[in-house]
Amino acid sequence: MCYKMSRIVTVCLLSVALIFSLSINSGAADFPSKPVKLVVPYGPGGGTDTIARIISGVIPQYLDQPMVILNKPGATGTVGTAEFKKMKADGYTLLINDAAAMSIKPQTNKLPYQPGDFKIVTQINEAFYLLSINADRPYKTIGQFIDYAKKNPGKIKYSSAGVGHIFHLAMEQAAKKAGIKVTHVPFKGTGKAVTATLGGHVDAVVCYPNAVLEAVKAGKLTPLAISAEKRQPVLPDVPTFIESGINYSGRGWKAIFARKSLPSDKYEILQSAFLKLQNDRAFKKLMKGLGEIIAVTPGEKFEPVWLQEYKDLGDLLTELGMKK
Amino acid sequence: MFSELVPGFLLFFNLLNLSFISLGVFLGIIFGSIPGLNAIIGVALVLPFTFYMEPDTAICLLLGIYKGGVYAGSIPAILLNIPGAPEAAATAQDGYNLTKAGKGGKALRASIYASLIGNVFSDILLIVVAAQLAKLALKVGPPEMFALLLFALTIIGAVSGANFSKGLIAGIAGLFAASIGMDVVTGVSRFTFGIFELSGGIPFLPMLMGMFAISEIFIQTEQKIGEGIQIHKVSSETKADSKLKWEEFAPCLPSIFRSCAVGALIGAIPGPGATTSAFVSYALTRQFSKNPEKIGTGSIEGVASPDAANNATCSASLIPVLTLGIPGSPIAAVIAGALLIHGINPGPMIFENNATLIYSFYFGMLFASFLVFIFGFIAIRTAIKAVQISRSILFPIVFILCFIGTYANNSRGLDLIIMTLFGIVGYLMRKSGFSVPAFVIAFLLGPTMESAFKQSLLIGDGELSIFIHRPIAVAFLVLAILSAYFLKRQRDRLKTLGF
Repeated sequence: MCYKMSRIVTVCLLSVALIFSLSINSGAADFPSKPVKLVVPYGPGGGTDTIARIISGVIPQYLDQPMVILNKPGATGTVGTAEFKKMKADGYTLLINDAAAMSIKPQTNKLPYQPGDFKIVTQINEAFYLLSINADRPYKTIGQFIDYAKKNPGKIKYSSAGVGHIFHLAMEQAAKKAGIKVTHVPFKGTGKAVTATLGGHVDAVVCYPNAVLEAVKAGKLTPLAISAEKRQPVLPDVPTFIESGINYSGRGWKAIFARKSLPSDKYEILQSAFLKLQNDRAFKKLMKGLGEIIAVTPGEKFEPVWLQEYKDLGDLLTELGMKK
Repeated sequence: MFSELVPGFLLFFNLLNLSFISLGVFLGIIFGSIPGLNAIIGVALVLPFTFYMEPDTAICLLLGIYKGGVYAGSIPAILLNIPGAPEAAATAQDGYNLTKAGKGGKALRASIYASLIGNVFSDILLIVVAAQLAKLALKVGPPEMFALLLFALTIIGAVSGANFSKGLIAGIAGLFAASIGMDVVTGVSRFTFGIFELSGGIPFLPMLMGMFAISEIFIQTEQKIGEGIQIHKVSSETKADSKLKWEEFAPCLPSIFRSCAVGALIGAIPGPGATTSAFVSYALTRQFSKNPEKIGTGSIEGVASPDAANNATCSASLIPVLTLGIPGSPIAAVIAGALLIHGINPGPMIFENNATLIYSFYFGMLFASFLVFIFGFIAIRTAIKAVQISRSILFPIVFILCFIGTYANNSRGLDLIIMTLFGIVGYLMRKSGFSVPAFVIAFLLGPTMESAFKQSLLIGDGELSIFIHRPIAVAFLVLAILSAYFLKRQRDRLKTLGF
């Protein structure tokens, strides 16, 4: 009886071991061989999530595997990023993120991760910061806005998606360059900031253009200036800060991140799949519909930009007293 | 406007759309009635499939899930004191008390009728006056929001049960618990004690599930196994107790319509959501009801009014995204994403560029509201049968479902730990006479109230007078004071009467 039992147990264990060994894929030759997960450190339906879902709809043809979205919201993208850091660096999980959680928060808050834990697969898009005002305000151009602010320091209230967020820092930089003092009223997310501006509770809002495009078209918000180096096709009548005499330019971005320890063969396979998005017709069409500018830059080229931005933001945060 | 009515109807009225709305409502009801799962998960799950559908079909499916989910949360709330979805937490108060008194069927019927009224009311509002309602909602800025939520907080007085001081302590504990995490206005992490996972704050859904569901299950384990299902008495109801008479329902109508209005307005404001509107309308009902002391103890009005409000919030929450392009709630954000992916830009221009689609959308909404009503009755009957299973089988099943449902939200082990911890906390609170609803209400409303206060001060240049200069804010502040005053008077009166 015992002999028979141990025989059965042995066979079972061996079969289990066999099955396991068959399912372990160490060769990059058949990578990816199961769906790839993309962690979105924000809730469903937001800007990052929508772009992630567009990617997940288009990239399977280049990866030969489906892509699954995992939403892990919390604390401006930091909770999801921290969780991503704990996931296996086997190439089957990636992260889409932006400067808020990757460049700013690591410098203002104590976090269990830092930029050095990750490497960029590709950039995905770039976006510029737009300053818009409630259309009923007495100042109608960026010049008048600045004049008013100089005469009434601190009186103009601008809203943004939160303290220490990219938009907040962008506006602080621009205000400094313009030599004016404005008051920041933070909200939880761009949606609420735009709403407060539409309702006239604050005077201005700083955000990405696609959040206010419809309100601008309906004449409820007046766009004053954009942080690009030249005018943007999405709002061709809006001057840049630079041409208005304010030496400020800046841009936001989203990128696909992998853990630093991801083996380079898998990294290259993933990267070449993502790079194909740049010329994919469906991707271009969908991103254009969102008002997004595609910028699928390879990680090696974008990482120095990211790290430089990290350093520059660090200096700004120290000046603002926000560095931890 | 009406030129698009017929094309809109024709676009909507086909077998595919009708099937998908039905599927949506069905899924929504299932997701809504299982504690832990809710409409948002349902919507997020089917979202990838909607990319391959036509926009009108996709929206039908998503809407169906949303409406079904919001309604169905009331079913376990009433029968088991376990809200299936956060917005049903207010319904649980009176609903469960009615069930304990053997009138569960009445409560369920009141809930479904009120939900239908809420749904249709805000559907019509959306169709007819979306733009105007959006404008009205925009007038609610931080000072108004603060005052509104302060007023809503006074409902703690009503749900505190016998001991008001304990209720107050529970409320303060809730406010404190809500402050844990990264603050929106200052960016500072508070009370996280170095545990990074807490920087997002204590997650609301696991906490709610713990405080209501898990603690209830713990309490149920104290009942002898041999005892039958007298807890519910739903099976042993007399016919009279399970049917809802018009004479009982009609007096609730003023509360119901007021709650519809509140739910629609709060839905039209980006931010608060169905749970807030349920509690705010609950507070208002208590304020203006003819029998205020009955609210919280088992009154039909106390069931009907939060349910009317939270269902009214459903369609209304689409108003900001359709009229302004701003998603005001997670569901609206998902629907906006689904529209964007189909190349449709939500915002004021959508009424001009996609009028036919919008009209088919309106028909879909109305159809979904009625389907919720019809499927809801089936759900009620199923639920009543389901809770008649022996308690020793029912509650373990519910227990497991809570874990699965809560984990399904974010696939995070921390959520389950939080749920269990708060299950223990809730159990201890209930055993010592501290009000769990008071804690939850304060937890829910506290953070928004605090941010609104700070934002108001920033807007008002640090002057508290900003609150006095805004008429809507003043109105709510006055209501808050009145509410507190009347609550105190009621309690004193009840004390002298020997309660």
